[in-house]
Amino acid sequence: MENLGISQNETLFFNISGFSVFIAIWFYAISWLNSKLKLLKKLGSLFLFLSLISLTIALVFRGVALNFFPLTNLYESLVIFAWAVIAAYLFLEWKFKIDSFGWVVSAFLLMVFLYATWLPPSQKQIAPLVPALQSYWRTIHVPPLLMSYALFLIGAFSSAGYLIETKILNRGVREKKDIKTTKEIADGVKISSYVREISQRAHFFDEITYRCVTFAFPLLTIGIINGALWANHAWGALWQWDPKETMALVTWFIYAAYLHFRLNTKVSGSVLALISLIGVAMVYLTYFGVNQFNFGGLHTYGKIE
Amino acid sequence: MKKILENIKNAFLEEFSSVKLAITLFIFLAITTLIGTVLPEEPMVGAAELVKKYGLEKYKLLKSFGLTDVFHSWWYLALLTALGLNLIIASFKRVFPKWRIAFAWPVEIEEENIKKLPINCEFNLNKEFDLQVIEKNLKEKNYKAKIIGKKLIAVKGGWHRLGASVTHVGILTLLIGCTVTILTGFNGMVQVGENEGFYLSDLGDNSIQIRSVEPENWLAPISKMPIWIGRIPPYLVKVNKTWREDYKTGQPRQWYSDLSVYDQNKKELARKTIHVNDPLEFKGLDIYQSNWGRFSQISFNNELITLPLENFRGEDIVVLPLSEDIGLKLKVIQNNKEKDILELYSITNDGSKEKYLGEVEKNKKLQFGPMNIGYFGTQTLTGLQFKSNPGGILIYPGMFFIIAGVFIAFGSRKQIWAAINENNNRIVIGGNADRSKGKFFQEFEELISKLALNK
Ligand code: HEM
Repeated sequence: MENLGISQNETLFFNISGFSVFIAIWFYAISWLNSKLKLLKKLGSLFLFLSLISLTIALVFRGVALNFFPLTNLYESLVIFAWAVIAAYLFLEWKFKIDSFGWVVSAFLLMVFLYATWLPPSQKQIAPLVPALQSYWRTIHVPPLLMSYALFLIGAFSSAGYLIETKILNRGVREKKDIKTTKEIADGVKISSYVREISQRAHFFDEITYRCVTFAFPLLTIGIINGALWANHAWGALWQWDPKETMALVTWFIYAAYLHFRLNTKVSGSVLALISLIGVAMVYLTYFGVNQFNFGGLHTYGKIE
Repeated sequence: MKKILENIKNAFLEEFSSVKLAITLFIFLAITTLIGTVLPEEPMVGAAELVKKYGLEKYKLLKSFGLTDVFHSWWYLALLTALGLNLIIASFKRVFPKWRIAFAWPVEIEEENIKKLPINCEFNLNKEFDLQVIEKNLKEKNYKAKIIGKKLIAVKGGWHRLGASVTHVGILTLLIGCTVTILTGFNGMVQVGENEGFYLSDLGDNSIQIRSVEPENWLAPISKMPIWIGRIPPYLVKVNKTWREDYKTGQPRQWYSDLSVYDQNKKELARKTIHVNDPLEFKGLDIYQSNWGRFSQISFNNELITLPLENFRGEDIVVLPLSEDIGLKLKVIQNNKEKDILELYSITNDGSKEKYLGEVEKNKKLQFGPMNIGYFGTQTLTGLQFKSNPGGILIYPGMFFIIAGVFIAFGSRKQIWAAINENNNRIVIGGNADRSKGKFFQEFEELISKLALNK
């Protein structure tokens, strides 16, 4: 089990996955520029789906080689994170008919793929686990967190979309209270509806962010509590104010504020979008920052003995 | 006087049941937690490190503001307490009462107001098309609907209003669990060798374990909260054997300790071989494998100390920094049974130069300039963490409620109203949903299309 390389099969499927993402960007982008090209958007989704399948296969190869769930280093964490982003995006696209930012998500995914590829071999290799990491808790603790990070990310793209829509594209428009739309359904039958936003699209962006957060917040909560339970199991302490723990707590407080802000219908969408963007910044500070900026603490392994 | 107290109480309840306060606290906690994450914390890095970093003056200033240990400062604790109070009071005053309205019928509203609903529409009335048709169509879509005179009200969903209650119950459960643990739980750490044992003991401020002549009579200090109503279990915990397993590369793969728990009459109550991630759990006392190592017993100017040996390039060494740039390296050499000595080197702190100073045999002391160094052999010690966490069992139900609440909260409550106008020739229909309006609008449009086709 020690120092296995990466198998060729795994590399092949990883590359197929990355390449599919690359193709998906173009399909999504062109269909975004010209909204009549619905078919291209479908093709974009198809390629993302293909990417998801090949990434799954790559992960299975790695899992088999490792003999357990592949979640032991930064590389594997990134691969599973990419998997979560694709899965979450495709789910939301299917369920809530997202359009407009498939290309942004795909472009971001491509960056994750490239980053994972460029990691030094030492970060990719299957390394022996230090005692604290040898636990089934690892597989319960990390995947909900990665899934929540993926959903927060998509929520943040949607918030960015909201801010662009309301603050840049519709800058001239005074913050009108409602926008009314009227649809003629049959002869003489007109439905009028309004949303409390500048445009339907703004309303839609706001709603998507909210959906993402309502999915992601419980996942984050589960991940944090599982982390505490694992720490309890491994070190005999539920909570030690370790930087990774406290950063996750910051994120948790921010999204709790988001959810409660929303209860008040007078709070403007821009404030909510801004909180979601701050939240996602905290998410990535938790995910990469704690190790990168060397806040120290227990989640940087290797100092145990 | 009674009135004033009453007013204060009401103002307090009012303030602490507000969501505004909750949001304010969330934001303050987010900011202060972030500060605590970025600034080095005293319990993690030690006071000396902080003095070195800030200088003594600045360190004292920061310390007085609690900025050297944010998470144990009084104001952080106050924020958390306020959040806890807010959560409890708001849950009872604001969140749980929503149970009642979750399943209630929508209130009747007038024609005028139906036209102001987020989505609405008007129809001409004729013989085949009346409120009954709408009612039938709505019931097919699983709405609850009823007609009152010339008005119709219909509603679907509402369960999700309970979601927030369930989530809040979950968080309250966790809060109770934490409180129980803080008041009655304790934790601590010991380092013991094979065939040694320890009792748990409240040693006050002393956080260093006490050895005794008998190897089975160590006292391990427990650490607990200032206000504490717990009890210290009277068991003797004994280490029968301890060892490590390595990967082929020499990195540790796992540490093991074979432990027994005895009662006061030396009767064995439990026995288990523990390793990291697999503790011994016995009647509310949990013992964890935390670390493991070889230690050297050394005296430094006649003071006996136990120092962990580091394995560096195949040598067992201890490095003692003496000043900014110079240190002492102690190297243990144990070839076979006969030879067991300590070699001394002075080294520069970057490890670039070292100079041999001399050697000390086991159980001897030697003078090196101003230093007196003695060596009393090495010992393998297993680092055991122990704790009692009585509130811990509440974590699982708490987590269950939080998750269940979130799933319950997913729905939305859709309400539809219809009314026939005074002249009996038109019908107005409109609706509203508290979540996912887009989806509701779609459903509404489908309904209207269907009605328009049928008529
Ligand atoms: C500390 C004071 C708190 C107050 C005053 C408070 C208050 C409220 C209120 C009034 C609601 C609306 C209930 C409803 O509409 O049925 C709510 C919803 C909610 N609360 Fe809290 N809450 C607090 C803390 C928390 C915490 C710590 C969490 C963390 C998980 C939390 C999670 C939620 C969730 C998930 C919802 C549902 C939100 C939604 O469905 O959009 N609350 N809270």
